[in-house]
Amino acid sequence: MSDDPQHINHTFDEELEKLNDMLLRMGSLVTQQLDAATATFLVGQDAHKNGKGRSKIKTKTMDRDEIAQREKALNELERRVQEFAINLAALRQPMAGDLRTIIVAMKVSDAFEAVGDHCASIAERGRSLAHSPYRERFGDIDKLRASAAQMLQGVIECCRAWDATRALKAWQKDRHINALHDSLLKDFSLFMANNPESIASVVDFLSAVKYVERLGDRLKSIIEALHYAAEGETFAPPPLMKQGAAKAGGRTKKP
Amino acid sequence: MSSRAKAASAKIRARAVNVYYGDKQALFQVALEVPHRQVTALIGPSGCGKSTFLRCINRMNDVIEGCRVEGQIAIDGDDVATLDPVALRARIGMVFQKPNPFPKSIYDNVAYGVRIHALARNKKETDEIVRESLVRAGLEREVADRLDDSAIALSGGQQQRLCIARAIALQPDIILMDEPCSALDPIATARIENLIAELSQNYTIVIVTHSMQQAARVSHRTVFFHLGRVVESGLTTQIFTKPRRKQTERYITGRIG
Repeated sequence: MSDDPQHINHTFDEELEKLNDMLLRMGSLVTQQLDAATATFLVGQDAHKNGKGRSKIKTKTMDRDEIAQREKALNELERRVQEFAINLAALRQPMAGDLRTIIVAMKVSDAFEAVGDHCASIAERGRSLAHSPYRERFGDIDKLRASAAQMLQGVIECCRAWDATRALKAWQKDRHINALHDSLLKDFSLFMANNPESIASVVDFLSAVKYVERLGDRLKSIIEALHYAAEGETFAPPPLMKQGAAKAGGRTKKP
Repeated sequence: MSSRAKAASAKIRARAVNVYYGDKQALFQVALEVPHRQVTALIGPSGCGKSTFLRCINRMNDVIEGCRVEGQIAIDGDDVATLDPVALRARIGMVFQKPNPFPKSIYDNVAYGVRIHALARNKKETDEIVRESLVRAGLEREVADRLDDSAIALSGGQQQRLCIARAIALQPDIILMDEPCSALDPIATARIENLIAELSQNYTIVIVTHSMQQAARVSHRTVFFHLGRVVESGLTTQIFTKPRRKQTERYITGRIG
């Protein structure tokens, strides 16, 4: 897309750019939502620190209203993308790469909106666990957040350049997220078995973990859609990536 | 359309076709297969050679002074250069950009070729061919009670369908259409496009069109010409969603004119 010459009718290029801008704004909003949502689990903790104790990401937690506002903004952007894309399809009657771009833009906006919904659900769980005695243990969600944030960054870069080759690494991150999810599920199941009084809190926590895992699936679907838009072919992971997937993920610290 | 598009055998085969108008070469080594009973759309910018190629099929270029055709175009294996042009044109109907009915009655327009080629033994048979052709061209209901009226009084869309009926009356194998809807309004265009879909059950159709949307709507296969060469040909669904060549992509998305 990006190395193609401009359309003879330049206004069509401007319209496609506008469509792309709306998607990037959605990506930016989702990034803030993800950080804010996972930060609800880390209030009172040293949020987003790496092993050496240095803060990697500065995150501001948001209250319920702020998160709701951003979700509303995301929904509105999604509606505008859908409407704009339908208008473009009807008025420009696009072909080939342009057609794929417009159809995929609708799919991407839908997926970003769903990611925003997942973030809201994660924040809801975080708030409900604000006074849980096990709260400190739930900081493990930050590892998932870090992987999801990297994946999201890859998606946004890919969206900016409309070039899916940039997102292959990000695509792999989903496997990493799945592996982390499975590991947390296993560890916390064991923890619940040994600490039955923790069940209510841990179930809430694990549902938040599940939302991050689903969010990864949505981001993966965006990458695959962008790949189709750019290449005209269904995304097929190269064999090396399949082998690499077995090693992806890693163990989390036992709760 | 695509399932039919995969199955058909070639009705028309072009090999290494070069066409010259005097010193100017209009087609370069065109090689193409047009499948039996399918619609093949020829697209490309003005002057790319698509109409020139169309006119090679029924040897319409023969009547243009200074025009020279090299290479071979075969219909069912018969080289068109070796066939009698009159017999050839009876096998190949042609519809032009502007409807060109004869200044005669509706009936006589359709019956004209039938009489010249002696395709009917008597008036009753002629009547039947005229009626059947008008039915196939989707015009019979609109003109059944005024067959003796002048064809010139019909609307543009009706005139074009009358020209199609006139072509069909000769029971051709192939129908060539050179921008058949460019002078018509959207309703008349939709009727012709609907007719093309119906006719493709029985005829091999080659259509030249400047409307990419029309090519996408009516054809099974699409051929993209540029500067006298075939850049790409393939299933219409493939050409308009994922062309193989950059040049095709740029043309159909409006990046080169």
